[in-house]
Amino acid sequence: MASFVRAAALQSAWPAGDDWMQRAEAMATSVATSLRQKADLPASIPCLVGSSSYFIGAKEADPAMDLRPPAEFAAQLARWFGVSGPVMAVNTACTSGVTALSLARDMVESGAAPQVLVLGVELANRLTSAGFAALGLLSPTRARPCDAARDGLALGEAFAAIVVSGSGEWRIAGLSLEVDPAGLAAPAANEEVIARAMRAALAAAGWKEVDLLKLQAGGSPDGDLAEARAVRSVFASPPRHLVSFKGEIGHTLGASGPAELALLLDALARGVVPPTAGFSRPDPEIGFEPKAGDGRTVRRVLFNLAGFGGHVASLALERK
Amino acid sequence: MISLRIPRDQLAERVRERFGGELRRAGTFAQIGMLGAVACLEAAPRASSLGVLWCSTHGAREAAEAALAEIAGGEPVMPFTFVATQPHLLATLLAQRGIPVTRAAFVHVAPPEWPVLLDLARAWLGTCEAVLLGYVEEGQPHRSDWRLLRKETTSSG
Repeated sequence: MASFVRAAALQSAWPAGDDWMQRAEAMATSVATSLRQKADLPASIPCLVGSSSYFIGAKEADPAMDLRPPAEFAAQLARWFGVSGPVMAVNTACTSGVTALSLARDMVESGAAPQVLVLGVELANRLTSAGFAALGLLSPTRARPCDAARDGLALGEAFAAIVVSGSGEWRIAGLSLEVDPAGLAAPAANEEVIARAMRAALAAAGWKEVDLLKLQAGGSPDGDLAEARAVRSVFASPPRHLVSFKGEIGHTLGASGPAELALLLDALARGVVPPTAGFSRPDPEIGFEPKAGDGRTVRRVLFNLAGFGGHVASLALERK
Repeated sequence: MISLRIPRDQLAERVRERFGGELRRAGTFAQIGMLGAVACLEAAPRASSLGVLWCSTHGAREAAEAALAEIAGGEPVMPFTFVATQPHLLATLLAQRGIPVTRAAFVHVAPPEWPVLLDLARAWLGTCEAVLLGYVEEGQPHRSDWRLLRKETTSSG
Protein backbone atom coordinates (compact mmCIF):
# COMPACT_ATOMS: atom_id res chain seq x y z
CA MET A 1 0.00 0.00 0.00
CA ALA A 2 1.29 3.47 -0.84
CA SER A 3 1.26 6.46 1.47
CA PHE A 4 0.76 10.12 0.67
CA VAL A 5 1.11 13.54 2.22
CA ARG A 6 -2.50 14.58 2.09
CA ALA A 7 -2.48 18.00 3.74
CA ALA A 8 -0.11 20.32 5.53
CA ALA A 9 -0.36 23.50 7.57
CA LEU A 10 2.15 25.75 9.33
CA GLN A 11 2.50 28.60 11.81
CA SER A 12 6.03 29.97 12.00
CA ALA A 13 5.42 33.54 13.18
CA TRP A 14 3.32 34.13 16.25
CA PRO A 15 3.32 37.06 18.66
CA ALA A 16 5.22 36.59 21.88
CA GLY A 17 3.07 36.04 24.94
CA ASP A 18 3.43 35.97 28.69
CA ASP A 19 1.84 32.56 29.19
CA TRP A 20 3.72 29.73 27.46
CA MET A 21 0.85 27.25 27.49
CA GLN A 22 -1.71 29.78 26.25
CA ARG A 23 0.60 30.72 23.39
CA ALA A 24 1.18 27.05 22.48
CA GLU A 25 -2.56 26.43 22.54
CA ALA A 26 -3.22 29.45 20.33
CA MET A 27 -0.69 28.23 17.76
CA ALA A 28 -2.11 24.70 17.89
CA THR A 29 -5.65 25.96 17.42
CA SER A 30 -4.62 28.10 14.47
CA VAL A 31 -2.80 25.23 12.74
CA ALA A 32 -5.62 22.77 13.48
CA THR A 33 -8.16 25.16 11.96
CA SER A 34 -6.02 25.57 8.85
CA LEU A 35 -5.47 21.83 8.53
CA ARG A 36 -9.17 20.98 8.93
CA GLN A 37 -9.90 23.18 5.92
CA LYS A 38 -7.81 20.75 3.86
CA ALA A 39 -8.52 17.36 5.43
CA ASP A 40 -10.88 15.63 7.81
CA LEU A 41 -9.35 14.66 11.14
CA PRO A 42 -11.28 11.73 12.58
CA ALA A 43 -11.23 11.58 16.38
CA SER A 44 -9.42 8.24 16.36
CA ILE A 45 -6.47 9.39 14.22
CA PRO A 46 -3.03 8.61 15.75
CA CYS A 47 -0.92 11.67 16.51
CA LEU A 48 2.89 11.57 16.28
CA VAL A 49 4.72 14.67 17.47
CA GLY A 50 8.26 15.49 16.38
CA SER A 51 9.99 17.86 18.78
CA SER A 52 13.24 18.19 20.69
CA SER A 53 12.09 20.62 23.37
CA TYR A 54 8.53 19.71 24.48
CA PHE A 55 7.69 21.41 27.82
CA ILE A 56 11.17 22.96 28.22
CA GLY A 57 9.86 26.45 27.46
CA ALA A 58 7.00 26.01 29.92
CA LYS A 59 9.43 24.92 32.63
CA GLU A 60 11.62 27.96 31.93
CA ALA A 61 8.59 30.22 32.22
CA ASP A 62 7.54 28.58 35.48
CA PRO A 63 10.60 27.10 37.24
CA ALA A 64 8.40 25.74 40.03
CA MET A 65 6.58 23.35 37.73
CA ASP A 66 7.72 19.75 37.30
CA LEU A 67 9.25 18.85 33.95
CA ARG A 68 6.38 16.75 32.67
CA PRO A 69 6.93 13.70 30.41
CA PRO A 70 7.13 14.55 26.71
CA ALA A 71 4.34 12.09 25.92
CA GLU A 72 2.06 14.34 28.00
CA PHE A 73 3.05 17.21 25.69
CA ALA A 74 2.05 15.11 22.69
CA ALA A 75 -1.23 14.19 24.37
CA GLN A 76 -1.94 17.85 25.13
CA LEU A 77 -1.34 18.80 21.50
CA ALA A 78 -3.64 15.99 20.37
CA ARG A 79 -6.38 17.34 22.65
CA TRP A 80 -5.96 20.82 21.19
CA PHE A 81 -6.38 19.23 17.76
CA GLY A 82 -9.51 17.47 18.97
CA VAL A 83 -8.17 13.96 18.37
CA SER A 84 -7.89 11.08 20.84
CA GLY A 85 -6.04 8.25 19.06
CA PRO A 86 -2.64 6.86 20.14
CA VAL A 87 0.02 9.54 20.71
CA MET A 88 3.80 9.41 20.62
CA ALA A 89 6.50 12.04 20.92
CA VAL A 90 9.43 11.42 18.59
CA ASN A 91 12.86 12.90 19.27
CA THR A 92 15.78 12.51 16.90
CA ALA A 93 16.76 16.18 17.24
CA CYS A 94 16.51 18.11 13.95
CA THR A 95 15.08 15.11 12.08
CA SER A 96 12.36 14.46 14.70
CA GLY A 97 9.50 15.57 12.47
CA VAL A 98 10.59 13.53 9.47
CA THR A 99 11.25 10.52 11.71
CA ALA A 100 7.66 10.92 12.95
CA LEU A 101 6.58 11.07 9.32
CA SER A 102 8.46 7.82 8.64
CA LEU A 103 6.61 6.10 11.51
CA ALA A 104 3.32 7.48 10.20
CA ARG A 105 4.18 6.02 6.82
CA ASP A 106 4.83 2.63 8.47
CA MET A 107 1.44 2.78 10.18
CA VAL A 108 -0.41 3.65 6.97
CA GLU A 109 1.42 1.21 4.72
CA SER A 110 1.08 -1.67 7.21
CA GLY A 111 -2.64 -1.03 7.49
CA ALA A 112 -2.41 -0.14 11.20
CA ALA A 113 -4.07 3.23 10.59
CA PRO A 114 -5.81 4.73 7.53
CA GLN A 115 -4.24 8.10 8.27
CA VAL A 116 -1.91 9.64 10.81
CA LEU A 117 -1.50 13.19 12.06
CA VAL A 118 2.15 14.27 12.23
CA LEU A 119 3.04 17.42 14.14
CA GLY A 120 6.37 19.20 14.15
CA VAL A 121 6.58 21.57 17.09
CA GLU A 122 9.51 23.63 18.27
CA LEU A 123 8.82 26.67 20.42
CA ALA A 124 11.44 29.17 21.50
CA ASN A 125 13.33 28.29 24.65
CA ARG A 126 16.60 29.34 26.23
CA LEU A 127 18.00 25.83 26.70
CA THR A 128 18.07 25.04 22.98
CA SER A 129 19.44 28.47 22.07
CA ALA A 130 22.12 28.24 24.75
CA GLY A 131 23.01 24.69 23.72
CA PHE A 132 23.50 25.61 20.06
CA ALA A 133 25.44 28.70 21.11
CA ALA A 134 27.67 26.56 23.33
CA LEU A 135 28.43 24.33 20.37
CA GLY A 136 29.37 27.39 18.28
CA LEU A 137 26.74 26.70 15.64
CA LEU A 138 24.84 30.01 15.55
CA SER A 139 25.24 32.99 13.23
CA PRO A 140 25.59 36.37 14.93
CA THR A 141 23.29 37.86 12.30
CA ARG A 142 21.10 35.63 10.13
CA ALA A 143 21.06 32.38 8.17
CA ARG A 144 22.52 32.64 4.65
CA PRO A 145 22.01 29.21 3.05
CA CYS A 146 24.64 28.35 0.40
CA ASP A 147 25.94 31.92 0.49
CA ALA A 148 29.65 32.74 0.37
CA ALA A 149 29.25 34.80 3.56
CA ARG A 150 27.30 32.21 5.54
CA ASP A 151 28.42 32.04 9.13
CA GLY A 152 26.05 29.79 11.05
CA LEU A 153 22.50 28.80 11.82
CA ALA A 154 19.63 30.98 12.99
CA LEU A 155 17.08 29.15 15.11
CA GLY A 156 13.38 29.56 14.46
CA GLU A 157 10.16 28.29 15.93
CA ALA A 158 7.38 26.48 14.12
CA PHE A 159 4.18 24.59 14.66
CA ALA A 160 3.44 22.42 11.64
CA ALA A 161 0.95 19.66 10.90
CA ILE A 162 0.80 17.04 8.18
CA VAL A 163 -1.69 14.30 7.43
CA VAL A 164 -0.17 11.07 6.07
CA SER A 165 -2.79 8.95 4.39
CA GLY A 166 -3.48 6.26 1.82
CA SER A 167 -4.42 8.92 -0.72
CA GLY A 168 -3.40 12.45 -1.53
CA GLU A 169 -1.56 14.59 -4.04
CA TRP A 170 2.01 13.80 -2.98
CA ARG A 171 3.11 10.16 -2.82
CA ILE A 172 5.92 9.22 -0.46
CA ALA A 173 8.07 7.45 -3.02
CA GLY A 174 11.14 6.89 -0.87
CA LEU A 175 12.45 7.78 2.56
CA SER A 176 15.87 7.09 3.98
CA LEU A 177 17.04 7.75 7.54
CA GLU A 178 20.74 7.36 8.18
CA VAL A 179 22.96 7.61 11.25
CA ASP A 180 26.47 9.00 10.92
CA PRO A 181 28.85 7.10 13.25
CA ALA A 182 30.98 10.24 13.55
CA GLY A 183 27.97 12.41 14.29
CA LEU A 184 28.77 12.96 17.96
CA ALA A 185 32.01 14.76 17.33
CA ALA A 186 31.43 16.48 13.99
CA PRO A 187 30.06 20.02 13.57
CA ALA A 188 28.11 18.92 10.50
CA ALA A 189 26.81 15.76 8.89
CA ASN A 190 29.26 13.76 6.81
CA GLU A 191 28.89 14.25 3.04
CA GLU A 192 29.06 10.51 2.37
CA VAL A 193 26.25 9.82 4.83
CA ILE A 194 24.13 12.57 3.24
CA ALA A 195 24.85 11.13 -0.20
CA ARG A 196 23.97 7.63 1.01
CA ALA A 197 20.62 8.88 2.33
CA MET A 198 19.86 10.65 -0.96
CA ARG A 199 20.82 7.63 -3.05
CA ALA A 200 18.71 5.32 -0.91
CA ALA A 201 15.65 7.56 -1.21
CA LEU A 202 16.17 7.86 -4.99
CA ALA A 203 16.65 4.10 -5.34
CA ALA A 204 13.46 3.40 -3.36
CA ALA A 205 11.63 5.76 -5.71
CA GLY A 206 13.31 4.28 -8.78
CA TRP A 207 14.61 7.70 -9.88
CA LYS A 208 17.92 9.06 -11.06
CA GLU A 209 16.87 12.71 -11.34
CA VAL A 210 14.46 15.04 -9.59
CA ASP A 211 12.83 18.33 -10.55
CA LEU A 212 13.48 20.00 -7.21
CA LEU A 213 15.82 19.49 -4.30
CA LYS A 214 14.86 20.98 -0.95
CA LEU A 215 18.21 21.46 0.71
CA GLN A 216 18.95 21.08 4.40
CA ALA A 217 21.25 24.11 3.98
CA GLY A 218 20.89 26.26 7.06
CA GLY A 219 23.81 28.62 6.57
CA SER A 220 26.36 26.48 8.38
CA PRO A 221 29.83 26.84 6.82
CA ASP A 222 30.60 23.12 7.14
CA GLY A 223 27.09 21.73 6.87
CA ASP A 224 26.12 23.49 3.65
CA LEU A 225 29.42 22.51 2.06
CA ALA A 226 29.06 18.84 3.06
CA GLU A 227 25.55 18.76 1.60
CA ALA A 228 26.73 20.49 -1.60
CA ARG A 229 29.44 17.88 -2.07
CA ALA A 230 26.87 15.15 -1.53
CA VAL A 231 24.54 16.72 -4.09
CA ARG A 232 27.34 16.94 -6.64
CA SER A 233 28.27 13.30 -6.06
CA VAL A 234 24.69 12.06 -6.44
CA PHE A 235 23.59 14.08 -9.45
CA ALA A 236 25.48 14.53 -12.72
CA SER A 237 24.20 18.11 -12.69
CA PRO A 238 22.21 19.85 -9.93
CA PRO A 239 18.40 19.62 -10.17
CA ARG A 240 16.75 22.50 -12.04
CA HIS A 241 15.25 23.88 -8.83
CA LEU A 242 17.01 24.11 -5.48
CA VAL A 243 15.62 25.79 -2.40
CA SER A 244 16.31 26.16 1.30
CA PHE A 245 13.78 27.59 3.76
CA LYS A 246 16.07 28.19 6.71
CA GLY A 247 16.80 31.77 5.66
CA GLU A 248 13.06 32.40 5.81
CA ILE A 249 11.90 30.68 9.01
CA GLY A 250 15.22 29.76 10.60
CA HIS A 251 16.24 26.26 11.61
CA THR A 252 13.16 24.99 13.38
CA LEU A 253 14.97 21.84 14.60
CA GLY A 254 12.56 19.00 15.36
CA ALA A 255 9.79 20.83 13.53
CA SER A 256 11.85 21.48 10.41
CA GLY A 257 10.63 18.43 8.46
CA PRO A 258 6.89 19.13 8.70
CA ALA A 259 7.42 22.91 8.67
CA GLU A 260 9.55 23.00 5.52
CA LEU A 261 7.35 20.39 3.86
CA ALA A 262 4.30 22.55 4.54
CA LEU A 263 6.07 25.60 3.08
CA LEU A 264 7.21 23.68 0.03
CA LEU A 265 3.89 22.04 -0.78
CA ASP A 266 2.06 25.33 -0.30
CA ALA A 267 4.44 27.07 -2.71
CA LEU A 268 4.13 24.31 -5.30
CA ALA A 269 0.33 24.39 -4.96
CA ARG A 270 0.59 28.07 -5.89
CA GLY A 271 2.80 27.15 -8.85
CA VAL A 272 6.05 28.62 -7.61
CA VAL A 273 9.44 27.53 -6.40
CA PRO A 274 10.32 30.35 -4.02
CA PRO A 275 13.71 32.06 -3.84
CA THR A 276 16.01 31.16 -0.96
CA ALA A 277 15.94 33.97 1.59
CA GLY A 278 19.36 34.95 2.86
CA PHE A 279 21.21 33.86 -0.27
CA SER A 280 22.83 36.58 -2.35
CA ARG A 281 26.42 35.67 -3.24
CA PRO A 282 27.38 32.27 -4.72
CA ASP A 283 30.14 30.28 -3.08
CA PRO A 284 32.50 28.63 -5.60
CA GLU A 285 33.09 25.79 -3.14
CA ILE A 286 29.37 25.03 -3.02
CA GLY A 287 29.39 24.85 -6.82
CA PHE A 288 25.72 25.67 -7.39
CA GLU A 289 23.17 28.17 -6.16
CA PRO A 290 19.53 28.03 -5.15
CA LYS A 291 17.20 28.30 -8.13
CA ALA A 292 13.62 29.58 -7.89
CA GLY A 293 11.12 29.48 -10.73
CA ASP A 294 7.95 27.96 -12.08
CA GLY A 295 6.74 25.23 -9.76
CA ARG A 296 3.85 24.03 -11.92
CA THR A 297 5.91 21.39 -13.69
CA VAL A 298 7.61 20.09 -10.54
CA ARG A 299 6.62 16.45 -10.06
CA ARG A 300 9.59 14.80 -8.38
CA VAL A 301 11.03 16.28 -5.21
CA LEU A 302 13.89 15.23 -2.99
CA PHE A 303 13.79 16.70 0.51
CA ASN A 304 16.93 16.66 2.68
CA LEU A 305 17.33 17.10 6.41
CA ALA A 306 20.35 16.64 8.65
CA GLY A 307 20.51 16.98 12.36
CA PHE A 308 22.58 17.22 15.47
CA GLY A 309 24.22 13.95 16.37
CA GLY A 310 24.48 12.64 12.82
CA HIS A 311 20.89 11.76 12.00
CA VAL A 312 20.26 12.40 8.29
CA ALA A 313 17.06 12.05 6.27
CA SER A 314 16.15 12.18 2.61
CA LEU A 315 12.55 12.00 1.43
CA ALA A 316 11.38 11.45 -2.16
CA LEU A 317 7.94 12.83 -3.01
CA GLU A 318 6.06 12.49 -6.30
CA ARG A 319 3.09 14.59 -7.40
CA LYS A 320 0.27 12.49 -8.79
CA MET B 1 15.90 -10.31 25.84
CA ILE B 2 17.90 -8.27 28.34
CA SER B 3 16.49 -6.57 31.41
CA LEU B 4 19.03 -4.58 33.43
CA ARG B 5 18.50 -2.84 36.74
CA ILE B 6 21.48 -0.63 37.49
CA PRO B 7 21.90 0.99 40.91
CA ARG B 8 22.67 4.67 40.37
CA ASP B 9 25.97 4.52 42.20
CA GLN B 10 27.15 1.62 40.04
CA LEU B 11 26.49 3.12 36.58
CA ALA B 12 29.96 4.53 35.96
CA GLU B 13 31.64 1.31 37.13
CA ARG B 14 29.36 -0.87 34.98
CA VAL B 15 30.10 1.31 31.93
CA ARG B 16 33.85 1.08 32.52
CA GLU B 17 33.63 -2.68 32.93
CA ARG B 18 31.69 -3.25 29.75
CA PHE B 19 33.31 -0.70 27.47
CA GLY B 20 36.80 -0.61 28.90
CA GLY B 21 36.52 3.06 29.82
CA GLU B 22 34.14 5.98 29.72
CA LEU B 23 31.76 6.41 26.81
CA ARG B 24 32.92 9.75 25.44
CA ARG B 25 30.18 12.35 25.00
CA ALA B 26 27.53 10.00 26.36
CA GLY B 27 25.20 11.39 29.00
CA THR B 28 23.62 9.30 31.72
CA PHE B 29 20.58 8.34 29.65
CA ALA B 30 22.70 7.16 26.72
CA GLN B 31 24.98 5.19 29.04
CA ILE B 32 22.04 3.35 30.61
CA GLY B 33 20.68 2.54 27.15
CA MET B 34 24.06 1.42 25.81
CA LEU B 35 24.61 -1.09 28.61
CA GLY B 36 21.39 -2.92 27.78
CA ALA B 37 21.47 -2.50 24.01
CA VAL B 38 25.01 -3.83 23.60
CA ALA B 39 24.34 -6.74 25.98
CA CYS B 40 21.28 -7.67 23.93
CA LEU B 41 23.18 -7.47 20.64
CA GLU B 42 26.07 -9.55 21.96
CA ALA B 43 23.69 -12.35 22.89
CA ALA B 44 22.55 -12.82 19.29
CA PRO B 45 24.11 -13.39 15.86
CA ARG B 46 25.18 -10.15 14.19
CA ALA B 47 22.67 -8.63 11.76
CA SER B 48 23.75 -6.96 8.54
CA SER B 49 21.20 -4.17 9.01
CA LEU B 50 19.77 -3.12 12.32
CA GLY B 51 16.84 -0.90 13.21
CA VAL B 52 16.90 0.65 16.67
CA LEU B 53 13.56 1.71 18.13
CA TRP B 54 13.57 2.67 21.79
CA CYS B 55 11.34 4.52 24.16
CA SER B 56 11.13 6.14 27.55
CA THR B 57 8.61 7.99 29.66
CA HIS B 58 10.94 10.75 30.82
CA GLY B 59 14.00 10.42 28.56
CA ALA B 60 17.09 12.39 29.55
CA ARG B 61 15.21 14.35 32.21
CA GLU B 62 18.07 14.61 34.70
CA ALA B 63 20.33 16.20 32.08
CA ALA B 64 17.57 18.59 31.00
CA GLU B 65 17.01 19.66 34.61
CA ALA B 66 20.75 20.14 35.10
CA ALA B 67 20.91 22.32 31.98
CA LEU B 68 17.87 24.32 33.06
CA ALA B 69 19.48 24.86 36.47
CA GLU B 70 22.63 26.20 34.79
CA ILE B 71 20.52 28.65 32.79
CA ALA B 72 18.43 29.68 35.80
CA GLY B 73 21.66 30.34 37.68
CA GLY B 74 22.84 32.67 34.94
CA GLU B 75 25.53 30.26 33.78
CA PRO B 76 26.20 29.51 30.11
CA VAL B 77 25.20 25.96 29.19
CA MET B 78 28.27 23.81 28.77
CA PRO B 79 28.46 21.83 25.51
CA PHE B 80 28.49 18.45 27.24
CA THR B 81 25.52 19.41 29.40
CA PHE B 82 23.53 20.14 26.24
CA VAL B 83 24.71 16.98 24.47
CA ALA B 84 23.58 14.92 27.47
CA THR B 85 20.01 16.26 27.03
CA GLN B 86 19.74 14.56 23.62
CA PRO B 87 18.33 11.03 24.09
CA HIS B 88 18.59 10.10 20.40
CA LEU B 89 22.39 9.98 20.54
CA LEU B 90 22.24 6.37 21.69
CA ALA B 91 21.87 5.36 18.03
CA THR B 92 24.95 7.34 17.10
CA LEU B 93 26.92 5.66 19.88
CA LEU B 94 25.87 2.25 18.58
CA ALA B 95 26.87 3.18 15.02
CA GLN B 96 30.19 4.45 16.37
CA ARG B 97 30.92 0.90 17.58
CA GLY B 98 30.57 -0.46 14.05
CA ILE B 99 27.03 -1.69 14.51
CA PRO B 100 25.20 -1.31 11.18
CA VAL B 101 22.35 0.98 12.30
CA THR B 102 20.23 1.52 9.20
CA ARG B 103 17.24 3.08 10.89
CA ALA B 104 16.69 4.63 14.31
CA ALA B 105 13.92 6.34 16.23
CA PHE B 106 13.57 7.37 19.84
CA VAL B 107 10.06 7.98 21.13
CA HIS B 108 8.47 9.12 24.35
CA VAL B 109 5.38 7.06 24.87
CA ALA B 110 2.96 6.26 27.68
CA PRO B 111 2.74 2.56 28.64
CA PRO B 112 -0.71 2.02 27.06
CA GLU B 113 0.86 2.75 23.64
CA TRP B 114 3.72 0.24 23.95
CA PRO B 115 1.98 -2.32 21.67
CA VAL B 116 2.15 0.27 18.88
CA LEU B 117 5.93 0.16 19.17
CA LEU B 118 5.99 -3.60 18.78
CA ASP B 119 3.88 -3.26 15.63
CA LEU B 120 6.25 -0.62 14.28
CA ALA B 121 9.28 -2.79 15.04
CA ARG B 122 7.68 -5.65 13.13
CA ALA B 123 7.00 -3.31 10.21
CA TRP B 124 10.69 -2.31 10.19
CA LEU B 125 11.63 -5.94 9.62
CA GLY B 126 10.54 -5.36 6.04
CA THR B 127 13.75 -3.39 5.51
CA CYS B 128 15.97 -4.30 8.49
CA GLU B 129 17.32 -7.78 9.17
CA ALA B 130 16.83 -7.23 12.90
CA VAL B 131 15.25 -4.60 15.10
CA LEU B 132 16.40 -3.71 18.59
CA LEU B 133 13.42 -2.60 20.66
CA GLY B 134 14.16 -0.93 23.97
CA TYR B 135 12.81 0.79 27.03
CA VAL B 136 15.19 3.01 29.00
CA GLU B 137 14.44 4.96 32.16
CA GLU B 138 16.54 6.88 34.64
CA GLY B 139 15.68 6.08 38.25
CA GLN B 140 16.78 4.09 41.28
CA PRO B 141 17.70 1.70 39.94
CA HIS B 142 18.15 2.76 36.31
CA ARG B 143 16.29 0.51 33.89
CA SER B 144 17.44 -0.74 30.47
CA ASP B 145 15.22 -3.38 28.83
CA TRP B 146 15.92 -4.59 25.30
CA ARG B 147 14.64 -7.22 22.96
CA LEU B 148 16.02 -8.17 19.55
CA LEU B 149 13.46 -9.05 16.90
CA ARG B 150 14.47 -10.94 13.79
CA LYS B 151 12.27 -11.94 10.91
CA GLU B 152 12.08 -15.57 12.02
CA THR B 153 11.14 -14.71 15.64
CA THR B 154 8.26 -12.32 15.06
CA SER B 155 5.60 -14.98 14.77
CA SER B 156 6.32 -16.13 18.33
CA GLY B 157 6.05 -12.55 19.61
